[in-house]
Amino acid sequence: MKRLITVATVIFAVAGCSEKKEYKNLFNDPFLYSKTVKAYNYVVMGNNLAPIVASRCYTYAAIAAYEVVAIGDSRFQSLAGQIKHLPTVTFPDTAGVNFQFAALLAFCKAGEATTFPEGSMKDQLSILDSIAKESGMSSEMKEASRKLADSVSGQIITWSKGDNYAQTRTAPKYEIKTDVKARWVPTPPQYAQALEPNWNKIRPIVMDSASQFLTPRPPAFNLDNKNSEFYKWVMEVKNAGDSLTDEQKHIAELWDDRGNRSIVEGHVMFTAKKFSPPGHWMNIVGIAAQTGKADFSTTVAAYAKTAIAGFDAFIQCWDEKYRSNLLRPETAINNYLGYSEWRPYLQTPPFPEYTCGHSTVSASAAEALTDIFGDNFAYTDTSELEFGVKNRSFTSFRQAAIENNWARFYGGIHYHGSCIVSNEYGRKVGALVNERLKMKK
Amino acid sequence: MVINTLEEKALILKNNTENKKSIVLSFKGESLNKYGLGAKAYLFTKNGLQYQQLTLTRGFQSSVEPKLFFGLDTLSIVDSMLIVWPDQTYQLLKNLAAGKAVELRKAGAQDFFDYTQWFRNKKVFSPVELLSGWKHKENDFYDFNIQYLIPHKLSTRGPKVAVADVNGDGLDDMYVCGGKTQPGALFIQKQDGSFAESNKPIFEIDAGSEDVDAAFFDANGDKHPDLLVTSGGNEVLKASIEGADRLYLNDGKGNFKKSELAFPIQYESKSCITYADIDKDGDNDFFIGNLASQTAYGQPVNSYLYLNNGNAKFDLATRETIFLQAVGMVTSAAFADVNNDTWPDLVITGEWMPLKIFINSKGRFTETAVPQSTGLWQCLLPADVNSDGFVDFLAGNWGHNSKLWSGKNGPLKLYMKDFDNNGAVEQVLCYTIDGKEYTFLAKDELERSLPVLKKAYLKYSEVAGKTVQYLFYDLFKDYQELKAEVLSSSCFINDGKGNFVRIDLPEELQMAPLMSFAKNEIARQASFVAAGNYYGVTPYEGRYDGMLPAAFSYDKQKKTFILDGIISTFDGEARDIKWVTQAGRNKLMLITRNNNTISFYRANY
Repeated sequence: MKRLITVATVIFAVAGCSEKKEYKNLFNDPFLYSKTVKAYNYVVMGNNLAPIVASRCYTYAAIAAYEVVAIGDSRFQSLAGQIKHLPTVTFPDTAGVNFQFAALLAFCKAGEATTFPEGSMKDQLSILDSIAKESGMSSEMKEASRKLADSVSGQIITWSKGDNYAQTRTAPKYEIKTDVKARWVPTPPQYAQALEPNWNKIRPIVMDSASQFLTPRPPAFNLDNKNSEFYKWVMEVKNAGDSLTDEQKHIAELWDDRGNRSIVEGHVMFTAKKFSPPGHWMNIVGIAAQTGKADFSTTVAAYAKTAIAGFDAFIQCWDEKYRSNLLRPETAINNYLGYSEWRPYLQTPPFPEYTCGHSTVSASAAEALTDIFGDNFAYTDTSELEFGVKNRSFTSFRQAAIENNWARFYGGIHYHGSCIVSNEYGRKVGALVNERLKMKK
Repeated sequence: MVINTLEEKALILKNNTENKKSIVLSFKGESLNKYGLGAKAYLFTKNGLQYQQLTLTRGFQSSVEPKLFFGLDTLSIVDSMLIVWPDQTYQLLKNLAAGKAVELRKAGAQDFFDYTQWFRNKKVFSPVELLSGWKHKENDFYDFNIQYLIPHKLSTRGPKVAVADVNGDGLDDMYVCGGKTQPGALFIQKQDGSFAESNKPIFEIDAGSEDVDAAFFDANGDKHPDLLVTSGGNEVLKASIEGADRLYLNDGKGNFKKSELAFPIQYESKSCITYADIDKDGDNDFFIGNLASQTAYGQPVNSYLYLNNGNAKFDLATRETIFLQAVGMVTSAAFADVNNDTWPDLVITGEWMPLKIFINSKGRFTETAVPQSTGLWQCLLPADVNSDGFVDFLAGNWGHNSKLWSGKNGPLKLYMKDFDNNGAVEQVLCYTIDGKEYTFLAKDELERSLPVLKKAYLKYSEVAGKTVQYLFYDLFKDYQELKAEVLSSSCFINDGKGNFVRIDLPEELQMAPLMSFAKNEIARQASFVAAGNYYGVTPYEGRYDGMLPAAFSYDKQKKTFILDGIISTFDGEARDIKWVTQAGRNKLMLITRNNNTISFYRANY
């Protein structure tokens, strides 16, 4: 957060000595939007939300901003109707509105609705307000923009409430049955409860249902027969984990994206936070927009489409997770192969293994980004530098998604076979998002 | 005393007591346990027994010197000292002078310490070899997975047992309630005292029902005990038939036949049966207590009184006869003549309920309640404990060995509301200290079903030490409020004028939720037996497994209860205590246990 404020101060300095009406340029800056998303990324991270819940936060905020753009920029069209259950977005008189400012405000307002505490984006909102004030935006324009932002974000928030999120807060928890060997059980060191077992009841954005893309069954649990498919899956993880190269460790770390990794040192237990998988991809959208020199509207559209792709991908994946309820490699290796002390390189997250959430989301997000920025789009991922992980460069979004398959496997938290399926089905979800949502007219 | 503290100065505390004696023990263990951790020291002096066990942990990251300190007041001698090491070897030392440091060596210990030999309890009951291999089977159901915030499970309250001589051979037979997917079982007693299962196919049909209570009484006026079984369980029923109550008619030879359409069945989570001829028309009527909504714990539910038309067909009593709408979460009920007017009155109680007394005036009931008697009541037994001619009530409650009781000085409360408007009721359990109410569950536990709470306060530090009203800010209104003012297992003494005085049962019977009472049918004077334990709570509350069944009686002079003896070999969750008559009129006591076999005892009188 400190860094953001520093950046903002620099902007004030520039704004202070420039001409009036400078606000037009200051707000028509895709980087300002990316910084606002990043500020939200910190709020989501600080809230300790599960990655799938985080994906919901980004999605509604990004759609709210995009709907303002669709009103203000004639090249773009509303998602209402394209998303079947999103009603037509109505709006007040837009005379005297600065649409970029309004889009930023709409993002923050809708973002606040799903995060904590009340007014979670107030710091960023006051930065945006200061920029407007310092750069000579009239109070009438500010007011008109705010009105539009409130109207659009209000409609998106109302619509979001129909997605079953509130109902799933009290839906039945996952049942632990230790007599079924293949069934997922909580893993060290937290032994946390299974996360969001009812996420398949969340209303998808573009998919017709959570089970629209039904993945093949995982191989049957069989660790007695060394030739069984499942035995091979497990041993691949163990063997890879026992001989990781520095490069492989780096790959695993780049895609770790564990929202809250618990660290246990003696009696002390604390949590290390990172952006979640959808948070990481939000960051990649920013990098892509900058690398591709996208304009403000295109940038907002890119965030929205990528967030939606991630949102539906998680629903597809979670539907399968709590259908197959497959145990994690760590459990199989500890409990059934006799290596009770074996630990994966990354920390096993608290939900069933099959399929891989990160691989699914990454593949889906990569499809959305490829649709906007094109294939063979080279970029350098700097997202994890602030968490002490070096950058990695990619030749395309799809290449990054494939690398993610290996990352989860090297990390020792997923079977590679499972990641391959996840990538394939993530791509299907992403392709559907691209097919159903036409943002540019 | 020297105290080291984290990131603070060390403290030295000077001992200012004068003319007091003490003795300090240190231990020299063997192998890796060089300080003798876990060693127990029993000191016998003129002033009685003192006991400590060597353990160094004193809370988070805190430890003490590996010694035991005993204060002896002014005594200069310890008569004897018994040391029991963790491997159960022991040593006995005599006539130890105070003021000296004593080092005890594991090497000097010997033999095997037998607690039952050294510390003899008054053995009022001895276990009898298993007379029936029947084992209650609790199904895998975790109530908290469905209702996150309820205080405890309601699905592990079985098995109850009903006893009667069903075939007229002078030997008591029994019906034990089955768990879900387990059929209930009728056992006919043989001459040798063992039990043989009977009428199996009849009960197997209803294996899907979780039997929660059963009673033998004559339903059709043929003088043979018929059997009524009521169903329940806290699982939302997949098929309503699983919630059916069943009446089985007895041909007098112990052959039972289900009587269909005998009465209008309520397919709900019920708890208890009691019967009496409430209208003096010569036939038995019955009451069925209803426990809880399977999706909204706490909400008071309707119970039912059924009136017999004489041919084992029963109709629901009208509201004018008795008003039982939303009467509460009933766990136990009994018919007893409270005012000695020869008409059986109905006494019911339950969780978050007072002791409710429905006075029967010629077949019509008027409700009264004992003031300040709300509790988490689990069982009820009418008995004239003080032999004054008026029936009193023994009532089992949650007990004192609990976070809900210890250190609290006001009522336990349960607030209910759909706080987040998502269509499901949330329960907020609160305790009271000095008039202020605090949530029992931590912020994160509450937020699992109420994320909206984070809108006001994100961090633990913001709500630490704050009341429920503060934590719930403007959401805390329009709720339904339930309370439990008493958690002590108690006796309500009836003065015959409509007043009841509540007195606590002995501390030994406050160790856990008390689930069942029975009269001690062997004792010459009025004496009773009680048992309990309850595992179905959250790990934070901590399972109750420390109470042993005990016999106790009322001391009329001291106006208090005294313990007659305990059953030290008991293990498990006691659910029902009953007596069975054997050949030669011998009496045998049985205690049923949840998810376990039945324990049998013979009295040593």
